[in-house]
Amino acid sequence: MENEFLKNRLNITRRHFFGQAAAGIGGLALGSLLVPDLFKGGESSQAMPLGLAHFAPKAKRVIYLCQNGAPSQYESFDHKPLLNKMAGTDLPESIRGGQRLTGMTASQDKFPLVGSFYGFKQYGKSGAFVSDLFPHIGSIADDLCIIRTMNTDAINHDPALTFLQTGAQVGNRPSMGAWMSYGLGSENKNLPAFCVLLSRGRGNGQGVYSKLWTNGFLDSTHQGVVFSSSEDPILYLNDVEGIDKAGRRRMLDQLAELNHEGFQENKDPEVEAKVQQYEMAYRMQTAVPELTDLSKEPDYIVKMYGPECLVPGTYAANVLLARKLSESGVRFVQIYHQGWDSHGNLPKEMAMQAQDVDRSSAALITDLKQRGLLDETLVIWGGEFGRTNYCQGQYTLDNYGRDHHPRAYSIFMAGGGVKPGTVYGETDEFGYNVIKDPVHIHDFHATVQHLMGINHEQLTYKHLGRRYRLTDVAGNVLPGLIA
Amino acid sequence: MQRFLQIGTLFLWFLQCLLLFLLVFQESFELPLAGIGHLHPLILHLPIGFGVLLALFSVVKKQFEQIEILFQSLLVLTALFSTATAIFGLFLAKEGGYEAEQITWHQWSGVAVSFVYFAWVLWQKSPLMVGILGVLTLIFAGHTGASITHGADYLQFGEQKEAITNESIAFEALVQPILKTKCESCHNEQKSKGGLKMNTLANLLKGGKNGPIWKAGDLNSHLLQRMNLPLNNKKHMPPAGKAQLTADEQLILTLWIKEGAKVEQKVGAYSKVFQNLATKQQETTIEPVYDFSAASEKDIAAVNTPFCSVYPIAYDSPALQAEFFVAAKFDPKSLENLSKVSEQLIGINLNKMPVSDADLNILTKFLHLERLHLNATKVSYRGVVDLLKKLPNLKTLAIWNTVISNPEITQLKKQFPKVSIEQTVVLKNETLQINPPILVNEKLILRPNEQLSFKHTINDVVFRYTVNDSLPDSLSRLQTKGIVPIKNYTKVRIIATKPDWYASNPVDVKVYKSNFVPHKIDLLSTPSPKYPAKGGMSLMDFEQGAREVKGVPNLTWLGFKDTDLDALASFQLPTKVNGLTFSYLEKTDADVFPPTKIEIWAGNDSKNLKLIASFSPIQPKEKSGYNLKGINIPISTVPSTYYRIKAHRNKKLPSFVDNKGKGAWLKVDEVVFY
Repeated sequence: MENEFLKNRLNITRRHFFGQAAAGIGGLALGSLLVPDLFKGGESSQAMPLGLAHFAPKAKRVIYLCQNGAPSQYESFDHKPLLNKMAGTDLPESIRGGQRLTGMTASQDKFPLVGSFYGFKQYGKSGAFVSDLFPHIGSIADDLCIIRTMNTDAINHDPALTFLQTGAQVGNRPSMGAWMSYGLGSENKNLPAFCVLLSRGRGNGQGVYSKLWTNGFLDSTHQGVVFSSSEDPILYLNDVEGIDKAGRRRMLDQLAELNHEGFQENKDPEVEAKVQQYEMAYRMQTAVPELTDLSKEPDYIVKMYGPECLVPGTYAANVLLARKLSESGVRFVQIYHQGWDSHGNLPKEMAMQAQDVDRSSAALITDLKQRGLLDETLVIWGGEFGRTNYCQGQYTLDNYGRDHHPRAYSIFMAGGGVKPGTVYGETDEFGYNVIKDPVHIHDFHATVQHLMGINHEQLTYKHLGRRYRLTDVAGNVLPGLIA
Repeated sequence: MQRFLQIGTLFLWFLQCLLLFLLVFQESFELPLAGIGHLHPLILHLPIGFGVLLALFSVVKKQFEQIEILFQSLLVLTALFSTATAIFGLFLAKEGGYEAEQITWHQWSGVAVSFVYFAWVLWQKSPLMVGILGVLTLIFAGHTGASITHGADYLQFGEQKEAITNESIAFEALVQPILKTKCESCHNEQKSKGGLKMNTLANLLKGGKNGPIWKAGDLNSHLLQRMNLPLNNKKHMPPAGKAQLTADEQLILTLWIKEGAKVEQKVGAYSKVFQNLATKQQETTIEPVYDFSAASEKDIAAVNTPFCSVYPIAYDSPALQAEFFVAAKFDPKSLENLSKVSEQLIGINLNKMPVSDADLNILTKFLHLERLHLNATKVSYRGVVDLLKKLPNLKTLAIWNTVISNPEITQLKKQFPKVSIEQTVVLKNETLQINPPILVNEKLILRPNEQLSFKHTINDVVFRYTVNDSLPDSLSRLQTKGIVPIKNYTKVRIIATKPDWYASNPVDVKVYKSNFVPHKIDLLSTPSPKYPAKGGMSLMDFEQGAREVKGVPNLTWLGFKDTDLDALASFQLPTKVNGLTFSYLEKTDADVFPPTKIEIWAGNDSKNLKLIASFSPIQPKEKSGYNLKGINIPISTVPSTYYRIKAHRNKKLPSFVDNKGKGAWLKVDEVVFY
C-alpha cells in the first residue's frame, strides 16, 4: 500500500523509471561507439530504427491464408504413391523413430499406413504434384513456391498454432503481424497495419483465439484488428444519427483531453494507446466505405473468386476482402479458415474444405498478379502442422482419418520475392521425415521477415530484462526460397 | 602562472632538442624504449584540438584581454604536446611495418607542426596568421597519419555493393569484404604489420613473415589460428581494441578455407551453411544502389498527407515510394506536390485514383520512377505511350481495369520491352453456380407492415420461388426485386438465377404473416410450471420459439401437460379477420405432439362466444425430431372483439414412443391473425 502511495507521489511507475533511466545510460553508448566491442554487444543486439524496412524489401505486404486445423499434406501437396501401395500395413518403427503421439492415437496398437484417396496431377513447367482436390491452385503452380518440409515443435493445435503465429508455444508473445506493424508501421494511415479475418469451413474445426493476433508485450496499437464476419465487417464505425463529422471530431478531442489528464495521473501507456485507437477509428471512417463496397468488383472477378465471395463471412469473401485491404496498404492481413482437423472422415471433410478454399485462394494470386501487386505482396497458405501417414481410427477403403504430425508438412507461398515455380524440400517415401532442406517454423519466420526487408535478428523489443524477436534465438533465412 | 610558463618553455626546449637529435640520428640508433611509440596514437589528438582552439583564440584575443594568460598556457601546451607526439611518432615508425613514402610525408609534416608551435612560443608574432598556419600543417599531418592507419581511402564511404547471388564469386563477394573492413587497416601497402599485406589477392597469397596465411582445407591455417586465439592473447587477430570479427564472419572465413579456399569458385558451389551465411551477409549488402541524394526530411514531411504516404524504401535509402489511398479523398495537389521529391521517387501507386492522361504529365518529371501503378484509373493507351517514352527507368507498370485492352498491352510490351506489364486475366469459359438468395428479414413472423424480402450479392439477379414445397424452375413465380408477397403462414422455396450462371441452391423459409394484432391475449388455463413463458402475451410477442438448451430455462414456449390451452385474444374494436395461424412444436422423441383439435370461438361478449372454426391437425405416425409447425385456420365471421382459442392436448401417446399411453406435451409458440 505504502509502495503504491509512493509511486503515485513520484508520478512514475517502476517500469517507467527503468525505461527512463535507461535513456541516461545512453551516454554509455557513446563509449561503445568509440570502441565497438566495449560492451561486447555483438551484431544481433543492434537496434534498428522502427517504421522503416532495414533494407530494400521484396514484399511490402503479407496475406496469410492460415488453414487452421492442419490440412493433410498427403491429400494436397506431398504425393506419396508408396502409401497407396503399402496401405493397411504398419508404419515401420524405423521411420517413426520414436516420434511422440497425441493422446488421440497413443492407445492405438497399430498404425496402418494409408494413401491418398485422391489422385495427383503434375502442373506447370515446374511439374509440381498437386492433388485433384485443388485444381485451381494446381493451375497456378508456376507462381507458387511449394514447401514440403515445414516442421514444428508442437503436436497439438493450440501450441502449434501459437508457435506458428508468434514464434513461441507459450502464448502472449507478439504475433507475426504485430511484429510487422511494430517494425514497418502502416502504409495507409487510415487503416490498421494488421487485420484479422475469420471464417469457418465444414470440416472438423479447431478454435481460434485472440492470443494468435495479440500484440503481446508490444504497444497495443499493434494488435490485430478482427473484422466481423457479418455484412458489416467493421461494426459501429458509422456516426450515430444526429452526430456529424465535426461533432465527432469535437467529441474525440474532448475525450482525448480527458484521457491525457488521466495519463498524467496514472502514467499508463495503455491510455495513450487508447487515444490512438480512437483516432484510428475516426480515420477509418473515411477509408472503410471503399473497402466494403463490393459493387465495383467486375463480374469476372466475382467468377474468379467464386460467387461465395459475395457472401459475408465465407472464406472466399474474406480472401476478396483481404485483397482489398492489402491493396489499400494494410501491411499484414491474417485469415484463419477453420475445419481442417480431419481425425476421421478425412476424404469427405477434406473435399469440402478444398472446395471452399481452392478457387478463391488461386484467384487471389492471379488477381494480385494482374494488378501488378503479386511481386510486392507475399501470399502464404498453410496450417500449423501436418497429418500422420497412418490412419487414426477405423481404416476402410474409402474412409479414414489422420492424426497430427509435426515432423514434415506442406505449405505454399507466392509472390513477394519468393522463388516462383519451385518445390522446396523433400520428405522420405513415407512422407514422414524430412530428408532434404528442412524449413523449421523459426526459419520460415526469418525468411518471411527477410522478404519484408527486416533483419530478423535486429527487430527486437526489450521486455522483462531481455530482447525478444519473432525468431527468439533461432532461425535462418533460407536463400533457396528467395527469388 | 608565470612559473608554469617558464618551466613549460624550458621543457619545450628540451623536447625540441631531443626531436632534432632523433631526426638526425634516427637511422643509427637502436630502441632503448621498446613500445614507447604506442603513446603516439594516445596523445596525437591533443595538439589537433589545442591547435584549432588556439586559432579560434587568436581571432577573439583582442576583444578579451583576460584570456591572454590562458592563451599563453594553451600555446605552450600545444607546442609541448605536438613535439611529444612527433617524438613518439618517430619511435612508432621505427617499429616498422609502414611504407616509407607515406611515413616520410607524415613524419615531416608532424615535425613541421611542432616547429610551427615552437617558433610561435619563441616569437609571438601575428598570432592569427601563425594560428591558421598551425591548423593547416595539422590537417596535413593528420590526413597523412589517418591514411596510414585507416587506409588511403578512409574518406570514401557509401561504397557501392552488389547483391550476392549463388553466381557471385565467393571470395570477392564474401571473404574479401571481411578482410577489407577488419584487417586491411593494419595490413596494407602503407602499413604491413608482420610483413603481411592483405589489400590485394596477390599480397594475400604471398602471406607474411609466418608464411601463407591459409592453406586449402586446413583448419589450422595461420589466419584461422590467430582469429581463434582468446581475445586477451597478444597474438589474437584482430588485436583487442580493434573491431572484432563477428561470429558469422569467422564462420565464413573458416568454411571458405575448409571448403577449398578457391578464389574463383561461386557461392552456389559451396555448402548450404555457407550459402545461408551468404544470404545473411546479403541482408546488409543487397541494398539497391541509387546515386541521387536523399530528400530532406522537411520535404518528405511536406508531401505526406493522410491520403498520400511517402516514405523511403529502406531506412538508409534515398529512394522514396509514394502511395495514394481513398479515392474519394484524392487531391490533385498532393500529386503535384510530389515534384518536390521528383528525383527520389522510384515508385508511385495511384490505383483507383481519379487520374487521367492529363495528370500523367506530372509523372514525366519523375525520371527515376521504376514502379508505377495505375490500376482502375482513367488513363488511355495514348497517354501511357507518351508517358513511357519519358520514363527511362520504368520497370513495372500496372494498368489493370483501365480502358487499355489486352491487345494494346501486348503492343505496349513490344514497344517498351524493358517494362513489365501484366495482362488482364481472361477466364476460361466456365459456368458457375450462383450463390443462394439471402433472406433480409431478421424475424419470420411478419408484422402488418412488413414484407418478406430477399437480396443477392450479385447484381441483376432474378429470383424464382414456389410455395408448395416443389423445386422452383423457370416456370415458377418470378421476382426481380426479391419481395415475396405473403398472405399467411407459408413455406417459401426460392432460388436465384442469372444468365450465364447455373441456378442457385434453394433457400427454404417458413414465414408467418400477421395482419391484425390483438390488444392482448389472456390465458384462461394454466400452463405447466416448467414452460410458463410470459403468459398469454408470449402468444403475440412476434418471437419464435427457440430450441432447448440443457439447464437453461426456455421462456419462448408455452407448455401444457396436464391442461389444455385456453386463451382469449381481445381486440380494441370489433375486427374481421381472415383466419388464424396456430404455431406449435412437434418433437415426438420428446413426447411433444400437435394438439388433437383446435377450436376457435368468437364474439363481441367475452362471456358469450360462438364456435366459428375447428381443426384437427394430423398426428405424426413415427418418431421425429424438432419441427416447428404452423397451421392456417380460415375463419369467416362478423367483426368480433374476442377470439378464444382452445387447443386440446394429445392425452394418449401412440405406441411408437417410449411413454406410450401417457399424456403428451403441447407446446405453443404463437397465435397470428391474418
